[in-house]
Amino acid sequence: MAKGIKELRFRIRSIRNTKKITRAMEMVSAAKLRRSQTQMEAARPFARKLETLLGRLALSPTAREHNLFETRDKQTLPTLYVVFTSDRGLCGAFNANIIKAAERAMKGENVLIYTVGRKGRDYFRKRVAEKLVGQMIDLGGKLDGTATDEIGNALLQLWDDKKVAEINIVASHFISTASNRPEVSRYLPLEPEAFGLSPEEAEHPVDYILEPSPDRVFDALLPRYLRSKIFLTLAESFTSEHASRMLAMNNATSNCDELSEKLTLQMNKARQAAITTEIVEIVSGAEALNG
Amino acid sequence: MASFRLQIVTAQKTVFDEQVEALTLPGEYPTSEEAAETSAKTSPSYFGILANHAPIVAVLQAGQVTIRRGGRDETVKITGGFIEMSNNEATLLVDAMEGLETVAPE
Repeated sequence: MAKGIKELRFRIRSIRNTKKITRAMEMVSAAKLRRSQTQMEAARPFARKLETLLGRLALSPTAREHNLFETRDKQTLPTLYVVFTSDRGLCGAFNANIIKAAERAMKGENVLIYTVGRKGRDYFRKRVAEKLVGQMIDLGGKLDGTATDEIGNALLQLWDDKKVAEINIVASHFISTASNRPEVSRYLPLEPEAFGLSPEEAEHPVDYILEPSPDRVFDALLPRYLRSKIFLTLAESFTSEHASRMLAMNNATSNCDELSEKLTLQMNKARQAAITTEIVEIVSGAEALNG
Repeated sequence: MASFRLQIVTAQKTVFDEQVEALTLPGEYPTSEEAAETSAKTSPSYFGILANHAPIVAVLQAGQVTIRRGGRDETVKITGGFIEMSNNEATLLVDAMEGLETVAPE
């Protein structure tokens, strides 16, 4: 009996230690979540401005001639999927959900894959290594312009080289701290209709002067728009990741509480049982002597 | 003097949002195809924008942006970007910028 108590005591101690770790991780994620959420919200005005501007300009014939608007044959060329996952685990079903969504979207298509984040890369490398065209790992949940540019340029290169017919993004859409869901969205070719122009605006387009020339304006505008879209996607993905991890760690912490409570009760019962047995032994021994 | 709203936005955040009276910007020269390679190295063609300017979108190259606000000129260095103006609201979208130092009026 004594051995059982010792084992229980040992387990309780290890669970309490685990709890300290999970709680620390929860707090770290909470801090990171706050930071990346601020960044995400600060990055939105730029992307939104560009989007409205492009919405107004995209109706012009010069824009439609631009190669980023070009539609290509999906029969002859593969579709590129850019999958945004996290570098680290312990964030609940975050990565599993994204990978599942990505695989559902890719089903039956001729695809190529570009992965952002270690988890996605490891997954796809193990299964369809020949379809991986590029990767970006170890961003460490931090947003910076260089990584964004690198991803953006790699995608543009694939597009310019006419290696792909379409580029789609699979990434987590941040809804609230408690919920996010994977979303598949079109990256290239650009669709003039997708810029969310209000009907009144579409009817009375702003007649812009384009300096120095329409071509130059589009050459400057479109890559920036695409980069800002990557930046925003990344910001949203990071925010979702931190939120998921925070929740997962919160659950782990409360599981630790529950488990250690249960084990403590079990241990106390075992200890009491041992004491009772001992008393009974002593009492019956004494009675035998008296008898 | 008539004023207009100016917003300066970078990919990371909005850095400026106020009423201003005039803007001087580093524009690009229209260049022919063969001159395009060298055009990046030429000095920018500065141009000004005042209130109620016609709708315009202009590509900007690296240079100084001068903002006149309350009779004072302030200069900001930018690495490139563009300006959009319509309905008396200007938006300066820049890649990277440096300084919002006040230059004392004469």
